[in-house]
Amino acid sequence: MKKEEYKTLRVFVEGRNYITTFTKKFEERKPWVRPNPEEIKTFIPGLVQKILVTEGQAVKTGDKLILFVAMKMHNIIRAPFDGTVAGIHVNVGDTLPRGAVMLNIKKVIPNAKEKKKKVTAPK
Amino acid sequence: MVNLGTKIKELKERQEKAILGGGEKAIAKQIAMGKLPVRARINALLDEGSFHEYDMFIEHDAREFGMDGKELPGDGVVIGTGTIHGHAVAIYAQDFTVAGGSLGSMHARKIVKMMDYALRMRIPLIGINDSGGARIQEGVNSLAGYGEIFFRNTLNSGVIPQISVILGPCAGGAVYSPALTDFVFVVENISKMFITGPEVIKSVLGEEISMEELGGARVHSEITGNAHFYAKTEQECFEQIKTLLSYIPWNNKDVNDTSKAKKAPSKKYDIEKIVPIDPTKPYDVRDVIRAITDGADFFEVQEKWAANIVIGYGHMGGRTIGFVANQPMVMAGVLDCDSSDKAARFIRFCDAFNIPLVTLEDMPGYLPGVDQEHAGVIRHGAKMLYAYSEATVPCVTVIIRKAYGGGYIAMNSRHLRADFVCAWPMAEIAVMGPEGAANIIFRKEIMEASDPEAMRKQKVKEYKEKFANPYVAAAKGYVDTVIEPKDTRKFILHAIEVSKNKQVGRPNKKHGIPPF
Repeated sequence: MKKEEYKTLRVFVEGRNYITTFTKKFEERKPWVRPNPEEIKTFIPGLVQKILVTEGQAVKTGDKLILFVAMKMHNIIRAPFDGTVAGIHVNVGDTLPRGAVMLNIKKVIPNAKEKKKKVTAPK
Repeated sequence: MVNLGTKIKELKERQEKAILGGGEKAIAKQIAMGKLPVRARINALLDEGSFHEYDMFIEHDAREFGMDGKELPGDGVVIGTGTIHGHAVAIYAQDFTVAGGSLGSMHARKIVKMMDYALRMRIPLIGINDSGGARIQEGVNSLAGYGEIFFRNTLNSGVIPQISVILGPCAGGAVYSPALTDFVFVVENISKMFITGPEVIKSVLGEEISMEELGGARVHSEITGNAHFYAKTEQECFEQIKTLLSYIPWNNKDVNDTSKAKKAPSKKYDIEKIVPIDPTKPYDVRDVIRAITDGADFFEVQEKWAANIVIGYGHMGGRTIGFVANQPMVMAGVLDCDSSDKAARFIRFCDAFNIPLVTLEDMPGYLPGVDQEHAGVIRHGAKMLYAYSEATVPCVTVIIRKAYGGGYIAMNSRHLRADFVCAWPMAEIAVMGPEGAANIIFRKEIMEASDPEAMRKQKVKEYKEKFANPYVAAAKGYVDTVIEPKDTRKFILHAIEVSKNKQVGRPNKKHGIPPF
């Protein structure tokens, strides 16, 4: 009989080590990556029908970037913030999976003077 | 001489001490974090001057680890009753200034008292969570307290509305009380919810993440779906709670009649101009809802999470209606794991509290993908079928454009016992989209044709003409009628009025087994 192979799972900060086996799902999990808001990703698998911007172009919030056909719908990908198109990683006719990076948009840093308002709670 | 005056003086002194909670310093710290002191929160939420506090003089009974002789005013939680919109509610609010709002056995007993009271009196229960978690010095007594709370959350479920307001940390086992309640409210930078914190995650998995990124307000209202309402400030959050309570009933026997203020539909939304005829063009389905409700009234629930399905309340003819609608503007309005979960829970709430359901359908089907299949879209999708099939409140379904495949059945079709089903003239009700269907049915003809592409196009057109319309379904009686978009409001109002004494039987059982 094949002997079960055990691994060590550290559970508590200053706690115990547990000898155990891992589930397949746990072993194959992907580590969390901090999302980069400047990457415009596909939210659904689909096809790039039209690219409406060029590299270096300045865009404003809500400007149309890409016409993306997915699930029989003509979706318009819009700029989530003001910025410049720093990179285009797709071509017209590309079929993309979910989560693929289509564009990079360099965010315009708003006026440095415009600092966050201080929050003061009423008594 | 002992007289009433001295007795009253003593009472006042005791009250003042209790109200001071963890002391002025701790209160100042709370305010510096952008948080209101505990009683200020309660007063901001309830009708002015309506709050009555109980168990102010409770004392904890822990003796170990230096707890003996330690004073914890109110044991870190304030409970009482008051009114919102003039109607009674029960409330408890944890006080972070007293031992970090930690939950000991007396603290739990106070919360439980309000929970039992709310159930007995059939009034909504509101819980304001602001706590570091279990009081470690009290050991298993603290855990027992949580257990008693969770059990009552389950008991109360479906009888009275339960609302959780996360105004501070809510970590570890404590998160399960909000998770069991019907509505969870979070506030930017203030709410933090997680089972294990960033430190534990770092030590076990080596992944670095901040508290905000792990379980902040935004995460729970956009990614996890644990929260239903997101606000920028505590005050905005309290207004949201009051708005919600203007739609939902006080208990499961409360009548949902036409007594709410009646308003004519808004002229701002022209229903014929909202939806493009071309099924590939997106639009905002919330505008369709606003076009048919009283005065464009719509209060959305879980706005940012799984936005490919829209859920929320609106008044029609002075009666509260629950809306479930595919959102073509987001992810083409597909059904997926999250949107099925979101809709299923909403449907069950409406059914439990006698809120008629109106379903607006325009969806291309389930989202294809390995991630969806491996995430268990079969199990999640089934929840929606279950919830609709189980619902016995009046149900009206409006098929706006696309109703394909399994999604057609799931979006409260006749077959799941919708009472009234109507379709707009541009509706397409079929097993799948014309392109996909033609490719399969006419595969041989297309392959053998001298110009396969031309043949394919012709067959798609043929299929479209034959099946991509509402009349095939209408011919079978699966769709009761095909209506002009402008008659939608009239159709729904009449359908709900006709169904107001609806009675249906279901087999007797202890309970069903939904695919949780």
